[in-house]
Amino acid sequence: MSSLALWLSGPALQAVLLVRAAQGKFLNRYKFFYSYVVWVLLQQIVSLWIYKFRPASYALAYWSGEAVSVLAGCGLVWEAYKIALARYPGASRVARNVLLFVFIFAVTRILVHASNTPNWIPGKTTLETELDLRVAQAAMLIVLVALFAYYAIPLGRNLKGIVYGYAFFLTSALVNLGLRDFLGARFQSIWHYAPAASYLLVLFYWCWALWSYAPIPQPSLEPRLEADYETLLAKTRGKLSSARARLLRDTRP
Amino acid sequence: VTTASWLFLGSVAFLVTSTLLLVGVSHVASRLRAADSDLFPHNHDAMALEAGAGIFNSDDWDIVTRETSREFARKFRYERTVLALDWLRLVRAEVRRLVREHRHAARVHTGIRTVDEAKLAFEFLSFELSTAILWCLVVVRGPIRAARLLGQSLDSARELRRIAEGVMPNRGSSLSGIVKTNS
Repeated sequence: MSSLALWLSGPALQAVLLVRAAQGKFLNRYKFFYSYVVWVLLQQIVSLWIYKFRPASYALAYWSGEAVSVLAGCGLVWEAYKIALARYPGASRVARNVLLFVFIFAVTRILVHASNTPNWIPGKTTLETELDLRVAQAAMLIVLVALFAYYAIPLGRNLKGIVYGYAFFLTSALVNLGLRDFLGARFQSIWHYAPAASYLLVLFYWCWALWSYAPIPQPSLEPRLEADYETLLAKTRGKLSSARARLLRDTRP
Repeated sequence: VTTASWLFLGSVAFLVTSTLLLVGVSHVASRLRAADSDLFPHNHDAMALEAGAGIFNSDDWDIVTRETSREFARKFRYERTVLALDWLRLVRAEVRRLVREHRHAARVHTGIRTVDEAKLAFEFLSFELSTAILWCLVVVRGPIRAARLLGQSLDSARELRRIAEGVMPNRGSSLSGIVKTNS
């Protein structure tokens, strides 16, 4: 009964999210996010049908759906990057370079891992493959959130909700996948409920954050107006190093 | 018992110890701050303050410990610690403001360079880390002993640098950079 309630609450909340966005006319503003929600909604409905009427094909359908979800999640992260940094070309450039570095690093890691397996399949099992992909996704999201915080990028309620909600979902997915991989069959009973329960929490948070459209606030501080980046950097580094030298000199006994 | 279990137990022990240490230090610091805080005016330029050198200077501390009662020395150390923490707070706030302004300006600059930003972030992080260590040392040992400990560490670093230069005469290192700044 509780299992059925979990299965039904998810699609219901996702439908609420979509209806609210359609009513508020902001579906187009977060295209990738709502595509992700639609995809997960369809996946859940189809999975439920397969689970009831074609149980033998459920595993294949589940893992194929998860693979597409990972890709859709990447689109969501990319959308957050594009929207949040649209007004900040400097921060956007740094984010692009750092994300590219993290992406190349993650892909290299997966390929090296895959090359060690006899059949050249990334990961020995589907579970391990998803874990690898989720780790890569989490690394990219962590970098993005760290850059938002470092450059004090205002996100607004909607985008903050999308980013932090997805970050929570990724964290719980990593914990679930890690425990399933580490504990094996002993974790099977929790494995049935944990991902759905954590996704439900995320959906509640998304419903709150995306109940209505909230534009990204304008930056509150006026930037220092140095003509070029070199001058700005030289001034900051000069002051920082003089502060450090001063601290070292003053703290001599 | 597997290696993973030992790793898990070790991580838990490390986390508990670090948390207890942090709680202890913050407790002492909040007790110190409770009596006096914001001793220096808010709009004062921390870099222009001459108080720093005086706070960590050991001359009057030597006189106090030599010539006065233990109780008086304890009170003196307490006052000096409060002053040192407030001065440190001011210096950190000044540097944070500077870096915050830089970030606000850099985020809209099209000529930004990722490597330079990473270097600056690293420099800022190392400054924050070193002041955090100094802050903990001041809370636990008082400003004079903290400064002595710092001096000894720098002397050791200088000695290490001398040895390193003896082994690799043409190579510069980050350690030598730190020591050079101070000498």
